[in-house]
Amino acid sequence: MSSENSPAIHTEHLTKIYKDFWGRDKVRALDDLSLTIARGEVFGLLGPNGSGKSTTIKLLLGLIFPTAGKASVLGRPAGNTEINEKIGFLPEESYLYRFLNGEEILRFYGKLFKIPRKELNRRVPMLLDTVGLDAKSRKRKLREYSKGMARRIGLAQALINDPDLILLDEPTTGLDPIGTREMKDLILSLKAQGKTVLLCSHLLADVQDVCDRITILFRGKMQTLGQVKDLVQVKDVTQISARGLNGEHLTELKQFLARLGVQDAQVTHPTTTLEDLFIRVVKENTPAGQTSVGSGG
Amino acid sequence: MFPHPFHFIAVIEHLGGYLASGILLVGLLVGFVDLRRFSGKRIWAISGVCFDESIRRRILWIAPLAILGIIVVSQLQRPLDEQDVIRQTIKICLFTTGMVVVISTIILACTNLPREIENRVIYTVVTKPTTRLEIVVGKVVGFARVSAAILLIMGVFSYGYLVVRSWSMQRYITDRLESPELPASERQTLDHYRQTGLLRARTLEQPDGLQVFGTPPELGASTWSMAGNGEGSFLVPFNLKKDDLIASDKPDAVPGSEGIQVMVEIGYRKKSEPVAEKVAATHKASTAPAQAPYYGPFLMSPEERQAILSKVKPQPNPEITIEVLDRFMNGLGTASSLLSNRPLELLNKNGVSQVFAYIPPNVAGTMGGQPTFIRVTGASKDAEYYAGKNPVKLAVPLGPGQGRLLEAASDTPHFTSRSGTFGQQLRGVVDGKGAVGVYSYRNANYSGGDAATFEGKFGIERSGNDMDSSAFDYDEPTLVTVRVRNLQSGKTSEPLTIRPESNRTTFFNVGADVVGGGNFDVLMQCQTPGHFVGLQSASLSMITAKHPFMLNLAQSLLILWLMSILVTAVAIFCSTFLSWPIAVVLTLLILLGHWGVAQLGDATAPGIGNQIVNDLGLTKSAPAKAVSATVERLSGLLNFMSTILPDIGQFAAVEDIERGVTISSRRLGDAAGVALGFGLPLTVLAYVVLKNKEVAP
Repeated sequence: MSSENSPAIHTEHLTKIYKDFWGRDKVRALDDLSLTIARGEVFGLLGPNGSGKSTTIKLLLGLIFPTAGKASVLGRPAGNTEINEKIGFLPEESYLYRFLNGEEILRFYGKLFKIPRKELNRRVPMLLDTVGLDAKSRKRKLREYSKGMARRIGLAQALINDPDLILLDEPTTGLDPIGTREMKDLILSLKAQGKTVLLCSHLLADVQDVCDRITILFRGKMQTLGQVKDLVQVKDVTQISARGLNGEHLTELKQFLARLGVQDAQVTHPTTTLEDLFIRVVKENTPAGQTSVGSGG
Repeated sequence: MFPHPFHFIAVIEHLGGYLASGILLVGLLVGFVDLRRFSGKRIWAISGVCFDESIRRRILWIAPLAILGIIVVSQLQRPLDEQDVIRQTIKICLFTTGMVVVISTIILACTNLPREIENRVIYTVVTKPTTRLEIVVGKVVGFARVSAAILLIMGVFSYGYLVVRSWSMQRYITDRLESPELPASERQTLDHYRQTGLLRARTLEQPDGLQVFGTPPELGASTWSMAGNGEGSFLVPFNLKKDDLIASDKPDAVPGSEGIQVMVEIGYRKKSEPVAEKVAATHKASTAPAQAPYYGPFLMSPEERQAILSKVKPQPNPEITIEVLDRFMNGLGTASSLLSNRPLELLNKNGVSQVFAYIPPNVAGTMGGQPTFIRVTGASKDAEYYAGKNPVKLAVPLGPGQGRLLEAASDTPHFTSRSGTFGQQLRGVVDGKGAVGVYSYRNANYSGGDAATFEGKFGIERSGNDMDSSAFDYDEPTLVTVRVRNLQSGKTSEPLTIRPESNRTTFFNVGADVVGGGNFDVLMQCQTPGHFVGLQSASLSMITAKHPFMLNLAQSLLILWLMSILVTAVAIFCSTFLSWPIAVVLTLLILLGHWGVAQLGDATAPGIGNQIVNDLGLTKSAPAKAVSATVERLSGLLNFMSTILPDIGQFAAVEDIERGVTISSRRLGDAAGVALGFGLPLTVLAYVVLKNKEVAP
């Protein structure tokens, strides 16, 4: 399979067992994971803490080596240095050089990709704008950043090379609801650009909002895999939404359902999410001309 | 700049060369793909982060602290003279600089990688298109940049501080030279300092050899003399194999089991008068009459003299001693007369005697397989000895009256005098006759000029038990006459009198005509009876060129920088598989291992096992064997380890510059050789370890 036509990620019986000092098995962190993620897909890797999500990402990036099985990324063996040219990675925390400032850190990573100076001069401010770091913040040392700002600069470094595949490990951790929304919007825009995103999270709402497919890991094993909409669908329950119904209409609707033999029909007003409410309130109170509300962390 | 650009290859060949080559080969095989992707741009970026991190962690704050330390310590020094002030200050500055660079490099390099793995910063680096080879090399380069920054700061300070100290000392010298009370012995040296300055960098030409003869040798002489009284000797070198020591008719015999026959061809001249009498006559006559009866040139009346001389037993035949020495001039044993209980006597009063002696089997057996020397010493007080070429012949006995001759390594004997505290003793002459020290220069590189300047540093000893010690004035200055004899033109310079002070530098100039061509001898005679001038091969040097001190300081700092690169490579290698505290310890062990074993000296020599057994008084065979074998193995292991560990003694950044000598390109080459010869394989090894290491904890 040529690397252009190959899936973005492919694993076969991927297993990782952590061993102790004497070489004895200590933890089976990932057990026989066989998975294929197509190009252009936003894929969610779900699971509780210690389920093997981060281990999977580390194996795909070559940070650790598999005990058994194999993995390929963009058609090349996992950990291949050349293929890293096309990968962006946001770790679960922003593990960056804390004594550099925002601009310096992006320039450093840009140099690792051998991006020409001219292109870096164009790309660095653009990325800092994209992730919502203002001019003042980008000159501050990373050790002075809040958790949210650190996530933003972490995301920027993951995108410095305009990658084809982006691995995001808990991307919304530490972000406020606006930041979370911006992150999800960004993921969707990446998808629109044809990029592949592997999203690893235990915040199910986030995953549900952006992912095409998900898998749930538990105790290192894959428990389920499929389209989000199929997996979350409750097939024996029907929901009808309509605007402009008054009390009389509702009474008639209940009577109609009773005639159909529906026993526990509930007819109520839908509620918005707290996230939507929060964003609406903040946006209504944001002064005109201010584009970002979250750069201060 | 480097006369041996591939000197590090020689180091590899010599010290664990196969191991280093193997590492490089494995590295090449493992890292071939990564080598293809090797990018200078990425390495520079990684090194830049290392540099920025170190600077922002305020590593440079160590420099002002070190500078403060240098200023304080240099004020507490106790110098011998004005030049010594500068010498000691240079030493303090460079020693402190070296310590600061090495310690900061070890701490930075040992902690960097473990910390990046622990706080997971390395995730974002290894997931970029960066090979692990680039990471390792980038870090080595980064810390080399940090070292360079520290060295630059310390170098600029050192230069400035030395200029200030030198200016201060020059003013002091000027004041002293204007003082009428300045001793004559110091004026010459201080004048030289005033003219040349105290911050100096000269190229010195060392003599090819030093010999001490009984009397000045003639140009092209074929015989040479040496003093008696155990003061003069000559050495003849031998390179014998063990097989040489086996008599051909007994092929299975133990080497040397038949002993070795020795024949020495040596002559003598009787001294006409006892030394004390002559000395007294020549040196005290002019002052004695005011206090004592006047007996012409003598101290006592003819009757008193006759009474003393009648008690002196005539010594009919002068004697010699013959010793066998190893290459370190340690005695292996002596040769004795073939006639039992007889001394080795010179029987021919009118010419060369043939003295026959015998080296016993226990001594002869040690002569095979190592360079050895036969030392012949003139033992009799009232004789002066002389010998020509091939004065010593050795033979393995083959039967009555027969023997197989053993060739000497050189047909020309090497003349020496008795060793004293400061080197070979050059006794003060009496009446212009006596021992002469000859420094020989062959093909010396003299670049020209009106005069050649020589620099000498000699030790002075004054006899405490001389035959007539009361006859000498021990407080009078030591006078030494110097002549230079050109071997090509045969011209000899006029005698020049210098007044050396013990272990202080003395300068003198001779005309360029006598050093032209580079082949000449410097003849020195101590003119003060009762005084001994201690001579060593390195006591005298000719200044052949002068260079800017700043350049010399820069070269010295370059050597320190090369050392810091080696330290970085070792530290990074250790930190790839160890936690940082253990990495620091292992780094120190690797760096100091070779030096440490060298400090043990004879304690790691073969035979130490038996010595320990003897010291412990173990008499039972089994424990004695076990202890001996264990100690021998441990000693062997230490010796092996020292051969594969870097010799940090090659980073000699201080010795030359503190003496005011230009650091040679050879020194730089040696330092670069060790830095590359060990640094390169260790960097490759660090890469191989890191490549196979899971960096996610």
